Amino acid sequence: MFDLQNVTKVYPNQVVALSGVTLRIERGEFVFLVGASGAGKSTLVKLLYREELPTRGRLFFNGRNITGLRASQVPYLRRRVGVVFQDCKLLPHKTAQGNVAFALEVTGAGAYLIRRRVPAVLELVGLADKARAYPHELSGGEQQRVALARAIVNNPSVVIADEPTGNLDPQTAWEIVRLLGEINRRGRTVIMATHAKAIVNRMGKRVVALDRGRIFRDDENGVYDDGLL
Amino acid sequence: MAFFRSLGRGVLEALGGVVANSVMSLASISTVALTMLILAGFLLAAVNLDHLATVVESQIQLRVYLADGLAEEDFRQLEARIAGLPGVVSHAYVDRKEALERFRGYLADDQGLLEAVEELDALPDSFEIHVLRPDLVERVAYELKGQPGIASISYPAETVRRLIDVTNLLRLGGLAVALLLTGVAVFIIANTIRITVFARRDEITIMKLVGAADWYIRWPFLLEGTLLGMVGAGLAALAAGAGYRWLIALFFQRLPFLPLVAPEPLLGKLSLVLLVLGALVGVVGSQISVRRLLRV
Repeated sequence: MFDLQNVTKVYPNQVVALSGVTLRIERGEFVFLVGASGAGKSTLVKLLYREELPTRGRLFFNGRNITGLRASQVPYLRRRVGVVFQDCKLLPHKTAQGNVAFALEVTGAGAYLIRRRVPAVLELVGLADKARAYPHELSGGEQQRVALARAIVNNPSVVIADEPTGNLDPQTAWEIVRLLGEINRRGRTVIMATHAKAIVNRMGKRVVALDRGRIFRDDENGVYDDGLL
Repeated sequence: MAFFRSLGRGVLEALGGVVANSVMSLASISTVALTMLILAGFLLAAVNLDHLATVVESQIQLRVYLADGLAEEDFRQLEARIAGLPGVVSHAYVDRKEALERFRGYLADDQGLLEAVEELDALPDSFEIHVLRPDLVERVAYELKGQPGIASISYPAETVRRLIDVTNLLRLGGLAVALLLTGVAVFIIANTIRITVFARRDEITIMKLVGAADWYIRWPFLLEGTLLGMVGAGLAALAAGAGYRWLIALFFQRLPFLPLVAPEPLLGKLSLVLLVLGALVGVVGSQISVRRLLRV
């Protein structure tokens, strides 16, 4: 699904965020990206949904080199990639269902599709009864569920989560990650950047560890081991 | 279907942007209106001066005032001489009575001036001469100069030339002022749209993340800018139209012989020009901000 070949990212201020990263993520995988702050997790994630472009190296999505993608083609890539952030990025003046519906509306979906899909994804994330609540009426965990519902409502083939549990207590965080696991079981690739050690160890999924812009470990059924960092 | 849905959304959002941002919107509309009004003033003045020049040129091209007490024989000789000059198309004799009559027609209201002209006998007998082309006027005048029986020759060529000079100057000055003001209007609209874009930056971020097409994000802002430009231009067109009609009425009372261009269809064309220009200013202004702020 994603194929990074010797990818290097240098920001305009000369900070080298990634250097020579080669990584393959297969369709249907659940992958944790772990590492300390500044290790390059966020940059890697941003490359995957093409918020940033690599300085050197090549990056394929479903066999297509997306480094050379025209600006006008980017929206169509984004529709196949659902993204979730630590700060949820919900619109405060829209209800939970309004926020989810927004993602469909702006891609030109019809009213019928919106009426059918929005309640279905809210049901999936367990928020069917809070559909009409505004973000400020929801807890942090509930807000993140809305963000998750919004990320999958366009039926993307991959969900990318950048520190989605950063602001949540361990119990709530675990529920969000379990939800991501459920989304993965239903056939979507899930890539999650995090430094929540307990969660990573409990899930027992593939772990890609980054340090100073390089991959230094890539284990199936990996653990997030302090000793190696 | 999807196209019309986003069309509706765009219109709503553009209107919403104007309302939410009413102070800046008002500022842009009035700036555009003022710009367009000044431009309209220059355009109307230029059109009228042009018209005036044409009219003066096409009217009597040459007038030969005759000396008093001209003998019948000399008069005939002079008339034959005039008729025989190359380039002369036609000539007509206007005696002082007729000249005064005409003048009375122009200045029906101003009895004092009329009496003064009558008393002074300021309008002698004359020949009105039409020549083939305006540029032949001076040659004909040269040929006639110094002929016995001629008191003086007047021809508007000099006037026409000056009028054209003034018109050209006005055009050039008007163009410079219009360009400058258009720049200001574009800048103001760009700023207004920048504020709207800024107010909705969270929404735009999310739109981009979930894969809204570029034009889908942009076009409500372009529409908002176009709307501002066109409303401003519309106001200017209304004001210019009302002002012009008022001036025409005023001139018709005071200076009825001044050949002004009728309001219709001139004002209709002017409105169209202003609206198109206003829309253009709006599109360019909003495009500047949108391009700078919405880079993917």
